[in-house]
Amino acid sequence: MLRQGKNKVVNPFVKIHNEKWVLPVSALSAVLGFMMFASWLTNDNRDSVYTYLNNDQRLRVSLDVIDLDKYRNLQSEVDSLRKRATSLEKIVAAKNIGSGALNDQLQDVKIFAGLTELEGPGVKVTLRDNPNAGLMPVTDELIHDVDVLRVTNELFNSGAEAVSINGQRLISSSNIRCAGTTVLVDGYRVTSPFTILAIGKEDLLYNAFTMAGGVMSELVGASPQMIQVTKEKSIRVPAYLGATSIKSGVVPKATTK
Amino acid sequence: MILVPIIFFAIGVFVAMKMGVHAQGLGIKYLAVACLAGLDTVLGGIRSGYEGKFQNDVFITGFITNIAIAFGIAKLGDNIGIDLLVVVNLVMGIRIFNNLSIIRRYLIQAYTDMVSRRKRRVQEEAALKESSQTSALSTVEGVE
Repeated sequence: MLRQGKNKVVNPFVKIHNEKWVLPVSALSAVLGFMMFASWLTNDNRDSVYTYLNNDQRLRVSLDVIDLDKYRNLQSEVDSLRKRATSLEKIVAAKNIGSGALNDQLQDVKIFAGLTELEGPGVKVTLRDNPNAGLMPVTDELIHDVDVLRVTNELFNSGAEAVSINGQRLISSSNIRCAGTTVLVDGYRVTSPFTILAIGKEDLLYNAFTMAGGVMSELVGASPQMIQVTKEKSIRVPAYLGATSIKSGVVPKATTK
Repeated sequence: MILVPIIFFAIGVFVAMKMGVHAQGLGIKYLAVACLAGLDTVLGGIRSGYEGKFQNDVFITGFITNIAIAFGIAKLGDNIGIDLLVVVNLVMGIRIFNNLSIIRRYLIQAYTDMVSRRKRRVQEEAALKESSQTSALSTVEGVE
């Protein structure tokens, strides 16, 4: 309360009413505050990659915003359902003697297609951006999609039976692309450090991979910290969890030579 | 006087916080531009208030149309493939700086006025006291 003169109490809001601009401006600044808070960037709505994408990719991201939680839930459902299908197939095979051989073949095909987890000896390749790079790293100091692609290519070439990148299983239709600061593996974002697991004969894989003239020697030349390869006694490669439905192609009735 | 809009701004932020509203996806870009336009209009309102030229209808229509135009230009730019967002940001930024500098001048003016008024009052009071003392002295002298 403002006191003016002797014991005379004056309503402080009278002063505000006298200036006619104060109330409308205040009301709209409240609206402005509301808007500013709504557009404030938080961890929930900030997509740090978003700003680094080019226009084409940005449009694609903005047009179909993916509900990530729902996607993950569906993926775990796919995983459990595929496991259940495998166990049911085994039960059927156990009951009917004739279908046992058929089931074995089915399981072989599933392993080959990458629909099951796989365990065995192999190598573990770790790719990371050069930690000693400056504030504006030159392109040689970053791991690109091409580097990841070449590493997996080389691993498959030297007899890898199953390969995964940061827990993302590669299958026959897998693709590795660039998306700003991250790499897309089958549309899934993975970032540095990339842990690439490959199951196969570990000595063969290791020796083939560290051979001079390969992608390894090239990356080591940029910085030895960017690529590390170790032999592993036992590694587990997860199953492929993406879609497997064939939409356009059909198997022809008469096979032609 | 300028504190009232700032308090109301804080109230707006608080209400939004309680309601937990957050723009998602592409909307955030446009909302940010609209925010900039709104900020410009509010500052312009404060400025015109200090200048004594404030008109209620002009201010409120200005708020709405500025936001709408900023939003529209940004959207148009996205649709025709030119980053018109930058244009809006630039213009709004210049206007905000302009308005703020003028408001600052008025605030400084008000402050120096206040200081000088206070100084003058102190001087007047001192002079009054002195004169009453001297008059008292003179009356005492007169009695003698």
